[in-house]
Amino acid sequence: VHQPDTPESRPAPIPRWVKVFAVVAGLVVLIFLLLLITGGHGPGRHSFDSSSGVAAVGGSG
Amino acid sequence: MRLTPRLRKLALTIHVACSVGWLGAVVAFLVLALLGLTIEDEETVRGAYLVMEPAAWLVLVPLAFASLLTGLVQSLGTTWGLFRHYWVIAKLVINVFATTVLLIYMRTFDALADAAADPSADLATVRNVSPALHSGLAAFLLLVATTLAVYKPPGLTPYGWRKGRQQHTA
Repeated sequence: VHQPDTPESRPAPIPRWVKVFAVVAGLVVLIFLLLLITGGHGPGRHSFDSSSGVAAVGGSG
Repeated sequence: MRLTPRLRKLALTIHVACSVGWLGAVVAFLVLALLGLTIEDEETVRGAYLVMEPAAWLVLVPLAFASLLTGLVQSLGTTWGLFRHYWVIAKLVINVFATTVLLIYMRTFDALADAAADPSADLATVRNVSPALHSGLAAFLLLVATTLAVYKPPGLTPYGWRKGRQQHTA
């Protein structure tokens, strides 16, 4: 005998705020990883070259 | 394992203190970073970047891990669980991401301190917008986590829904 497909017999749909959060979080992590991989971000952007006395400072990273 | 009501209150108090303390420390870093960018006095600018690294090791990193650890205890030791509610998962994601970025960023604090300690480096070289940007973004993320913790927006995960049904029928 099949159970009737009532709202109580299945999980509620994913709330909208969760979908928005997931998209934003995914984008942030993706951008972060891309910047790290391409060298556009991360500690290397701030490495200090003591021999030349010049710090390689990044604008935003 | 479920915590007793007294232990649960204690764990919650410690978790709130660590998490809000972390947010407060990040805001203090934001102020320090803005002072480093805007103030004229050279000694103060260099001092701001020099103090960031030890202060981050002594305050930011311990509070980040304390927040994560007490959050895990709080979720696993209560009926909230770790994967039952979307807002708990969202907080966990924010916490892990912010802690990871902080640990990676410690090398940057080290490089900034080295630049500030070098008398041959001019002030324009010592000043850096990066700490202000990172602490500003971190403060925003931790504010979102705090808001989630207070409002607890509804939404059960499929796992949480199954667990709830099991407990209901048991």
